[in-house]
Amino acid sequence: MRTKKDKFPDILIISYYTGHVILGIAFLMLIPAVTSLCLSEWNPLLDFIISMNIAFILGFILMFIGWKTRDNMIYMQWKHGFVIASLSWVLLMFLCAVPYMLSGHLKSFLDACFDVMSGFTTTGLVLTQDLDHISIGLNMWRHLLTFVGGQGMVVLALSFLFRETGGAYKIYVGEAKDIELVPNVKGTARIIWKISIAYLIIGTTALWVNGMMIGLKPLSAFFHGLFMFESSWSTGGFAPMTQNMLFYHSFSYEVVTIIFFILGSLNFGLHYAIWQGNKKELVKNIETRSFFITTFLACVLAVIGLAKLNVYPDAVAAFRKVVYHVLSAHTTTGLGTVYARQFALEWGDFGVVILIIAMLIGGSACSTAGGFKGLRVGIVFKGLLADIRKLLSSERRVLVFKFHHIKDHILDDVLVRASSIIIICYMALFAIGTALGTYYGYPVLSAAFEAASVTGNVGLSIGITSATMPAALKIYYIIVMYLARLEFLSVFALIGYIIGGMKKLCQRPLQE
Amino acid sequence: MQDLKKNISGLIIELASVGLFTALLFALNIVAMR
Amino acid sequence: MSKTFAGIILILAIAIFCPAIGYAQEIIPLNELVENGKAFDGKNVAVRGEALGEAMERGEYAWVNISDPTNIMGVWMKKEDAEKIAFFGDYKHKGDIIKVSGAFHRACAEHGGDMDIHGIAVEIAEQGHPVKEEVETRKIVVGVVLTLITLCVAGFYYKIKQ
Repeated sequence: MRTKKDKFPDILIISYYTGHVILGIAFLMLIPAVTSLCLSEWNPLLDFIISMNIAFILGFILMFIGWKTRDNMIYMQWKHGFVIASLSWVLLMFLCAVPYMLSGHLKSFLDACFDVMSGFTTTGLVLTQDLDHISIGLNMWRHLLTFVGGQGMVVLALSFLFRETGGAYKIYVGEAKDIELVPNVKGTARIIWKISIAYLIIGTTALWVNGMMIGLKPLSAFFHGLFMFESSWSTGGFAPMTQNMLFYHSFSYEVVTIIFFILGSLNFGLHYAIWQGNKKELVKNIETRSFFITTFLACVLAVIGLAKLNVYPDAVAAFRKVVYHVLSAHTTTGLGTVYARQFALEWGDFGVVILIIAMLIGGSACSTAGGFKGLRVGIVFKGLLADIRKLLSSERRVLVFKFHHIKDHILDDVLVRASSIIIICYMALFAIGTALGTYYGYPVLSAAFEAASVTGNVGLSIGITSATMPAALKIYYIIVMYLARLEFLSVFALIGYIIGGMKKLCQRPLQE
Repeated sequence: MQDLKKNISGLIIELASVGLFTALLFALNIVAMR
Repeated sequence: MSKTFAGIILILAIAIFCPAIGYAQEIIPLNELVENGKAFDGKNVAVRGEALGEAMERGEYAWVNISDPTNIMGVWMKKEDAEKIAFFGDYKHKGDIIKVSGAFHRACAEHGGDMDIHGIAVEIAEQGHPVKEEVETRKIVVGVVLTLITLCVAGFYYKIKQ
């Protein structure tokens, strides 16, 4: 017997909740709008008013379409959660591109969508032209997008808009945040925000003060500080000026960003544990151990490799130019203190390869960082060691392997396999990206560098990303940034849903 | 209040550890560049 | 006769040695410096670009980042030179275009490896100016219309919520 539950169309549920997320972003646009208002930037103010309205209207319409969801006790399933997360990101990409487009600083709508996706996914590659002359309102928007994108926009919507929490968990996981900090998802989202806001205050203040010490005027030092904090914590990699971190010519400013981008790349569960008093977690956690080891190795190799080529004159330069970029790459931040072309022209292949590997490994799971994630690398590595030990030990002994991530977990085959499969998916994206780059004539190592940067949501560029890049490459990069950030599952769910829906549409006329 | 104390000490530990890690990398860097 | 001859020799001498003095130095596009960092490293160059953002004073000297159509680079100059600059480029201003000559460094040892130019001679080539915002009436109209639509939709939302 068909129950009412079976007949309730998925699309209504999806529409209703997606509408909520879009409304959330519409409200978010108030921040840049008010900024422009206060600074008498009239064009940007209008741009945001127009964009806000479009978002509000669309959000309300989607909610109206799914209105029935309210009246019925509808049980949201995993598939809904995934589809809502992935669909929201696509719709938001178009909506958030509107203020960019209206500013006149983008050469095409595709470029605007690229920049938005780059912001949401905390990648940090830029196609906006003449950043140095854009309004503070638009800069506020750009950096806000990475800050919010790092937290996860759905997490944002969850914290403030949702009354019902039943289905919220599924959307939350759809956005690749699968750490259950507290049993209540709304509570978890609130904690993620509490930690971020605390650091926002501390980080902005630190950079503000530092900014004034290096010669910036108080008001601009504040905005630079705010923007650079948002970019660092979210491991985004945007900066208010075209030269990125090189604009500041400051070692101290760079060090402060290092601290916040490393912190930002750490798992929110780890932050929560430490903030609850569990200090040992910092050293016991598999991800911090993995990060520590791979970062150390990468830095050593890169510094030695570049010292051999005499690229930088002394230790300070080596730290600011080599170690900084290894850290920026590994945490998938993307802030840079050299011209993109210098990687290709001065670093030599070995240095570039180290960066590529660091970019692919990435940061921690359930953080603002990208890449394979230290958790998976750690699990797969331990899995390999476990397999070797099993081979070498007597067949009668049953060996159990464990790893520690907030709690102790058993290293079982299912977990190792799941981690490996996701890593393979990332590798596939990376390989295709490299091939595509070479197809368009770029040298293989440069194509690989850019592909790794996109796959790991990093944002360092070797010079390929530009407005004159082939459109197919722009589109591919957008898709990769999106897939990589949502960690595949939600997007596969969305695709599966669309295909399933289309199949049903085609089958209906046949059945009639 | 207890919670806030825990939060703050957690925050300080995080900042200190990352600071220490960065300093360690700088030291390593000096050694490597000699 | 010999006076004219001497005159010609003098003119030729000046023409040959002038470039060495730096008078008729060719302006190099910034991107060329980036692309050929090793070749230009340590050499005296002349560049020209719009001053961006603000000057960052650090003691006796200051950083001014300048932008030309090809790229953007930082110039380390004396505080007094930086103070000559009236306008810096941002949303509301077109910055002064300055001409700088000085030593280019691919990875400056004094500045922790930054690619920079130590500007010895700095002159204002073109004055900058405030940029007046032109607000399109079209945008205002669209903005107002959309706001009205949104208010209607929101009103409808609150009605059916009851």
